[in-house]
Amino acid sequence: MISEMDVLLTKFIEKHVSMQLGPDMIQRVKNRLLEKGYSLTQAIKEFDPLDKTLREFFGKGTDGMLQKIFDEICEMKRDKSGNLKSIVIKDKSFANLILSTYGNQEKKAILEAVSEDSLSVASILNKINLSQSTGYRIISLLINEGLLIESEHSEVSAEGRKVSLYRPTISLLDIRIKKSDIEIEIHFTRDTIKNSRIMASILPLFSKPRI
Amino acid sequence: MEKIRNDVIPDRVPNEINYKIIILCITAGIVFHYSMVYFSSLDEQTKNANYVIDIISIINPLVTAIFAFVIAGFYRMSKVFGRAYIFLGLGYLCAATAEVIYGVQYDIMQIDPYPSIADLFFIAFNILWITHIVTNIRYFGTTFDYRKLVIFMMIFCATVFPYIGVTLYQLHLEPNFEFIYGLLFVVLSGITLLFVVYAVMLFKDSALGRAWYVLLLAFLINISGDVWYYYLEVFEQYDLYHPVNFFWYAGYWIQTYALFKHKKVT
Repeated sequence: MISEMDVLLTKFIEKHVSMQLGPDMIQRVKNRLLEKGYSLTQAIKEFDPLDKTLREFFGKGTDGMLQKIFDEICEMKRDKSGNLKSIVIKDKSFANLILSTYGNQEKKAILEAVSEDSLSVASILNKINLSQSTGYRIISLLINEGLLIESEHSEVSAEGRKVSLYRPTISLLDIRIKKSDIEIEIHFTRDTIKNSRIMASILPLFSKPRI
Repeated sequence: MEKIRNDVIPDRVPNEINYKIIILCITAGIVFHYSMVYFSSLDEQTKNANYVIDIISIINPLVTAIFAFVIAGFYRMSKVFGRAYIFLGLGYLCAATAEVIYGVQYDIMQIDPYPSIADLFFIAFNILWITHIVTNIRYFGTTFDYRKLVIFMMIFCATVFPYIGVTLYQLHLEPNFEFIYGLLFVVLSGITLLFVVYAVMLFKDSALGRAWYVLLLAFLINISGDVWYYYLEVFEQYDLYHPVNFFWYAGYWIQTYALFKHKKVT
């Protein structure tokens, strides 16, 4: 199962990998991934296929490349025992996504509705009093953006069908204004970080001494 | 499904080194050099062979520069590679300019081109090469350990010490201007070689790494020629028909092949 953190980060990793390598090189990487049966997006979500493929092209240089990409997306914050506790967003489009999501009344209402307990789509719509068509569209958007995630638990509807429950990806959000900059710090639950395949590969790279 | 995949998909991105091309470059370098020696012995009055050597010496870095710019063009949208290959192309243009100046001074003005303004362009060539590698390393480089430092020190010593040792021995430990001047270039070549070795270590076991291996081989040939040349200049033994010239012909041709290998990866 793909972690919500990975879903959230995938789009931005894809953007930075493509930008750094350029269209010609990224096409070669995509072709190689396709040979293995992955799209670039899928390979980033599962991460290991991307990592292995990049290593086929760049060898150990892949470590440095991934570090630079993550440096451009976010800054990792660790607790006293060295575990990742949050990320501070550095990528502008990532920051805009968060700000526009929480600045949008309907999206914010949906995310607030599931902040305490995981809920089914029908329960979310009931709770915030939103029309079905708009509600479904926004929920689907939030899922695609990685801000809303299917919970591991489910419930049985009145008709006896098993329905999925949803919860927010971000457990806590700090927005600070520093001079002219807006700093956004995202806190994830320990389980979210533990389940992230991307973080499992990336975090060890950041514990080595760097040039 | 997995079994089918393994049968069809190659284990790694294919970019194998064709050693026949490398042998061909070396053989062509030897054949060209000794043909020029032969033709010059037939034609001592007009020195036409000198002009052929001059033209080939200019064309070699120029062709490599064109290759580097073509790769930079393919990479124009890439943050890392585009700039790196522009530096490399400019480096080879500097080398070509240096060869033009050298040829004009040697064959047309008939003055000793060592030392000369051409040397500034050779220095720029080395600096732009280092810039090309540093641009790559800054992006791909990660960790640094003391084992690498020891390897680098050994490589640097292996480049510089033979020049210092042999030349000083011949000079009876009394260094002259040519020795000091040549030492500057040998040190610069040694530093450039260090960076090439670092890049090879960084991209080891990858498709890009195989292109860097070829480049390292080309560099070793070129730098051997450089060190020998600066030794010869101390004792004024260099001319266009000295065997040291072969190293530069073969070196440039193999460098062009390395860039072609790089293009095949990308």
